[in-house]
Amino acid sequence: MDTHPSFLIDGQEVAFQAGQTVLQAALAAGLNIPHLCFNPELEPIGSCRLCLVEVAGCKLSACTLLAEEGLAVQHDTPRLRQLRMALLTFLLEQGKHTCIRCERTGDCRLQDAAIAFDARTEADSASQVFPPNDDSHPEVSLNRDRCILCGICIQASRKLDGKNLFTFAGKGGDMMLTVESPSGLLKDSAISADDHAVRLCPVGALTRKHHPVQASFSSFDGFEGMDWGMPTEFSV
Amino acid sequence: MNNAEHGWADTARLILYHSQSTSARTLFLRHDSGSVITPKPLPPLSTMLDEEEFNLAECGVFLHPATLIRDYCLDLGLPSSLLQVEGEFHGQVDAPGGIISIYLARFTCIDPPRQLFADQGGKFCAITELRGGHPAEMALLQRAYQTIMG
Ligand code: SF4
Ligand code: FES
Repeated sequence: MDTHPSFLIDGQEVAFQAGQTVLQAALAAGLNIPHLCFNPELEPIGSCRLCLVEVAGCKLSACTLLAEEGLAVQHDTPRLRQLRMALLTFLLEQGKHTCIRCERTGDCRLQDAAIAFDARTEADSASQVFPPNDDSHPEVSLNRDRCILCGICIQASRKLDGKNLFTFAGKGGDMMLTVESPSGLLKDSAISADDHAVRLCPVGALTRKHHPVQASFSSFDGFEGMDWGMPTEFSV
Repeated sequence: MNNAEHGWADTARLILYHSQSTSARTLFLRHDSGSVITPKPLPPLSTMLDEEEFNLAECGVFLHPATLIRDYCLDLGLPSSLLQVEGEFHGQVDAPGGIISIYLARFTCIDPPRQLFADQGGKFCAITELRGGHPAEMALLQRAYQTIMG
């Protein structure tokens, strides 16, 4: 007999183990709650808000909400879909996400979510001002114009790499990822292309140089029957 | 919702607030009574104690603030992780019935849960809108605000 406690997501019973969050339990049950800043190798961060759910009318992040017996979670409602779309569009508009020119295309959570939601933006990133990119290191690039400020690299560098190389500086719209090195540049830091911080960046912000492109648009074409509405230049 | 049936309410109470993660805009829950203390207002003759005046001997059975929060959320039919204790804050009030411990807890939801409290006349207010309340509450609020702002 299954003795796991359970809760409901949109009326569907989901079993969980003590200490699991709603997102972890949902993913384990095969339910797809879109998420960007959650990574199973790290503690939940709760920064991107894409995993938005509602409990008793309160909007919460599923990745930080502990699963509890009897909880009734709403996920797939018109209101939440609309909010998720707004969040996603906002994220896309805050950066220079020209997938066709990005090394991480095909291996990017933001791209996955944009495709899943058919989200795109008309915003002209060419006229936007972004914090400077850092191309100083021979193996690793920091493309701040693609950074979604999720905080994954900060935690990964601290906890998995034992290096503590990143932090956020500034507030609100001026917030940016900074490198802990004497010059503030990657070249003077202890970063390596094999660092977990680089591997776990969910978008093409912290990337390995000479990184083989994960998938090309022609390879997407190979997925017959999947209508992703992919434009020729997927400038989402 | 804000009933007095919580066994702990005579010795421990809460100040509840919400802070917007993007703008850090901080709002406190004010009940219909005008009080920011949950689950019921402080007695009229209460005074806040300074830390050096804390009376640990008389503050009754010590309940961990997380227990209070779990109990309070259960009463509202909400997940207990909707509220998170601000561990750095502990206030004490000398009230006619004895010492009352005051804890601070933050709503973890993305927006202030206005709807949850609207039926009972609860409102989320900035500290500037809360002037003129019970002097002990105002003193506690000021300390709570300093804790939140770090
Ligand atoms: S560099 Fe990548 S992992 Fe780090 S904050 Fe930006 S998006 Fe997140
Ligand atoms: S995945 Fe939950 S807030 Fe980002």
